[in-house]
Amino acid sequence: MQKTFKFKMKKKVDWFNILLVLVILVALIFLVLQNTLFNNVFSITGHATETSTLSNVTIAKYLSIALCTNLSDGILFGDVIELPATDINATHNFDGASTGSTMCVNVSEDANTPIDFCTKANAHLTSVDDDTIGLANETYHNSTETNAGTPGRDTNSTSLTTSYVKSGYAVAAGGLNYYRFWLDVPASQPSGNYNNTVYFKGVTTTLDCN
Amino acid sequence: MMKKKVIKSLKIFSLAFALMLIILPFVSAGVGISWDKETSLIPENTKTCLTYKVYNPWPEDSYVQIELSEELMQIVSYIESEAKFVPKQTSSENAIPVEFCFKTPKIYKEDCLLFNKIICRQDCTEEMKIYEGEVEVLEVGEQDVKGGAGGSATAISVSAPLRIKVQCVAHARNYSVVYILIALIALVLLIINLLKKRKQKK
Repeated sequence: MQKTFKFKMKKKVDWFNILLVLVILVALIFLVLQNTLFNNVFSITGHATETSTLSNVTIAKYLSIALCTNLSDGILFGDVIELPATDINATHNFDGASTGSTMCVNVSEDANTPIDFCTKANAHLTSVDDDTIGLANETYHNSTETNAGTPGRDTNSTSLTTSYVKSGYAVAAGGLNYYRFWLDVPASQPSGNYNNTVYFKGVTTTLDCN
Repeated sequence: MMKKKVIKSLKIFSLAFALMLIILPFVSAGVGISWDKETSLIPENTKTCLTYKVYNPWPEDSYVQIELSEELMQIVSYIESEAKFVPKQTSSENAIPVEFCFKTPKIYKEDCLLFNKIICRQDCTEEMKIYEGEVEVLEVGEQDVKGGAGGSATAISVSAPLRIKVQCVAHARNYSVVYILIALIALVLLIINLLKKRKQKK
């Protein structure tokens, strides 16, 4: 009788353990299904068969620019002796062929997209003693060709700003964009050496200057 | 007679050279950018790297630096900060790759049953988040005005557009945590029972 009872007890405990093992197995199966089949099961829409072939195209763009030497040397206005002074020419405004400008930006022939140019200055022309000539006094104009009158000091000439502004549109590979710069200095300007940095950025024609 | 010829040749040569100086716009070091991808679709909360290329087809060596616009900088995780040397006459075909990496943030809201984190589903009904900006390659040479005179120093750069679209990945409610919890509880009970059984045997 005692033997039978022991046998029954043993069997009861075994069934519980088997149940626990089954629970673990089912939970693991559901876990696997959750992260495999369940994720995809609703995307199956029918029994259509199809074959496919890859269609591929890569569109590459490249552009490169460089400053002409006279522009990379800086935009120089020389010594100003008399104040006020208006429309002071940058030193390379008229020293090219046919008295054209020699301040230019080159677009490389190794480019496959036309380029727009953006121009800005980092700050007012500033002396070491923190006196400034306002950027509104530093003006420029640009053109893809140059001669005595082009780029001209006319209504199209613009003051530099600290944000990029377009200053040349769709200049083709191998092309040039010429610049002329002028400076006005008011009568009350303290003497000194004034500097800033002017940036030229080349972008694709679809892109804003930012 | 001979002397005259030499002088004449020298004059012609000098004239031609002077003309060349005037006509040919001599160039400084330049900078170029090459790219074949303007948009990248990246799942949220994912790290990915993109490669643009720099080149310099001009006759002077240059050093360049890569910068990303403000909006793209919000998600950038790696960008080369040191100036990169680009030898002269490097054509677009031999352009030098420059890599930068992004880590997209977790943007889209999930519908979760527990603690806003567990047993979640993603419907992707929100509008796609797009980070839009540009990759700018700056030439980092000297920026002083030559001769120490007053005026403006000059600098150049080129840029290419880049859009990072953050992809929302829709998924059904995930009960994985529940299954793991049930399996763990069952395992613990099983171990307790087995230990008890062993003790009883002793």
